[in-house]
Amino acid sequence: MTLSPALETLIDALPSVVVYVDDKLYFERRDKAHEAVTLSDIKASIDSRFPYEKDALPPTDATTPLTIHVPPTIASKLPLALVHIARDKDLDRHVHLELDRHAELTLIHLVHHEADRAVTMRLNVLAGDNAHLNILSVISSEGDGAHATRNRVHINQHARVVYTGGVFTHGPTHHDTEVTLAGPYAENDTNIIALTDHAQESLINTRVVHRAPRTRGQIDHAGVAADDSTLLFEGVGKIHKGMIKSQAFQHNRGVVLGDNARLDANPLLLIDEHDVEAGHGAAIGRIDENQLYYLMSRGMTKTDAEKLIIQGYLAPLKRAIDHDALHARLDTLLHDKIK
Amino acid sequence: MPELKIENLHARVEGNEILKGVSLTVKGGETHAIMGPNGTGKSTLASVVMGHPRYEVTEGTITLDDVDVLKMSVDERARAGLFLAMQSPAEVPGVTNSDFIKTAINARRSDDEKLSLFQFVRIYDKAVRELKMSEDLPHRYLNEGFSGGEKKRNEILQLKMLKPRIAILDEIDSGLDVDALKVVGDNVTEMKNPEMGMLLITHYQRLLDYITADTVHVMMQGRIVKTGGVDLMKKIDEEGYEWIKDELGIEDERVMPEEDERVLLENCATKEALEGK
Repeated sequence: MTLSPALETLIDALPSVVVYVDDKLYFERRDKAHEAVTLSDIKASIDSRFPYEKDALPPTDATTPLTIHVPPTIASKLPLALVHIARDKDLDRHVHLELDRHAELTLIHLVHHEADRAVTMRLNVLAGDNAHLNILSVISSEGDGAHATRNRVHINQHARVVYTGGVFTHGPTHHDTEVTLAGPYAENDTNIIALTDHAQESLINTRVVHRAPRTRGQIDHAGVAADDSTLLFEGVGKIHKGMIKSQAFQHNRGVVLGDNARLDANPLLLIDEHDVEAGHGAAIGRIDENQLYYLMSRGMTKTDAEKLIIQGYLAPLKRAIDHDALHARLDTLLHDKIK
Repeated sequence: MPELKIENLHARVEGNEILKGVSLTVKGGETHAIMGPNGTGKSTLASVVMGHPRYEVTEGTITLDDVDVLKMSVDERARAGLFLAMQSPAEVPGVTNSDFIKTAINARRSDDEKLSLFQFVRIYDKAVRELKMSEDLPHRYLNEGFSGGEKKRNEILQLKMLKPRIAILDEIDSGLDVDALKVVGDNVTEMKNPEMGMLLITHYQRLLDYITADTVHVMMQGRIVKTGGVDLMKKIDEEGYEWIKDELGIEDERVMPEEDERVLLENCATKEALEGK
């Protein structure tokens, strides 16, 4: 078994990495910093701790579970990379990620579809009191296999989860995230960057539900729709009654490249409490003429100027984790999508 | 030695004629200043030379070393050696300032001449220091959240690094305080050489205290109405533009509605403060 050269280069450069091909462990190299983190195929008993996420349970035995546990107070800034590759069969994977109180983790999650494989990735996250989690997820595919991501993120008091996702798939894609801010001062940033081309149809849903006072949720969707593709962003910020001093913000931006491409954003704020801050903004349209003129006036061809402007949309992914090989991989995935 | 030649240039925007027969020649080593009140077509001239898509040339010619500039696209003009330091450069989120400038430099080089990251960083850092710009600049997104003064310095940074053959600086003094103006002036003056011609556009004489011009042109009603040397500059500084209007029988010097050329309050305020001293 071998990996594609591009992925192999990246995996070689990552300090701490666990690779699964289909649902079998293929390769593991873990830095000392992640010694205390346990990975197992135990089905986590999650029902009592996910009171709001009824669909967080693995729905059938057909899904293969992976449980990652970060014990209390274990903290590292070094990223741990988790790689999932669908090769010989379509993949339906269930990952349960649990951070105990005061634990900290930076996780790079690469999901790759070989050939025309389809993938369903179900990720449950439980961030315990005061835990910090930074996840960068990068989804890529070689062929037109369907992709579904279903994230259920539960954040306890004073905990913070930053989820940044880059969606570079070629097939029909549904990326669905539901975040529950379950304890006071819980915080979440969800940034999803999606690119669509050819006749692709992608739907990006993000819902952030404030179930405790003084919680903060920020949704950022950004995208590029090329050729005849359709890209749809649906973001919901919901603040329940009594959840005072909470903040729910949302921003959608995107560029439509093809004459027949469509990019729509439907931001929703559902608010049952007066004493909160909330808002949403959107900037969606063709590439800005003034930006093009400015870059071209410095000698770049129109094509190069457009590429640079679009590359700017990847900035949140690059800011999420500073790692050269990872950034190079993101640029390759972008150029593969936008020719 | 480069030569930019503009002859009888007429241009319009949205049906309104703004330039009504501008003729001007700038050669390498020369520094020309175009002065005049707001709304007389100075910035339009700069944008038309660079090729802004909003403007339509209806008559006249622009050549650079006898090559027709009007037939070139914006990027071809840049690669031929034209550079415009803009009054309000676009903001490009997500694109870092250093990525932008590196791409711009390499756009005009053949594959085996392209700068490596190391070579680039060395000359970039040097230019940033010489312009006394902040150290986090390389990682900031292009013009996003830049103050007026930072944008102007960033334009001059590009001028230093791209080394054009003809440089047009459009109102580079607006938004700069006296200290910043001195830094910018010193840097631009240092660049003067026979291989570069310069065209400064300003409505105040103040800029010319820091960058010496050999020739001054006064623009009104979309045309150059007067050309002179140091004496003309001094007279404008002391007496303003009214005497030129009287001399030529011009009642309204403008060619366009006020909003097309923005008056920067800070600029006027600085001027008033200086006069008050």
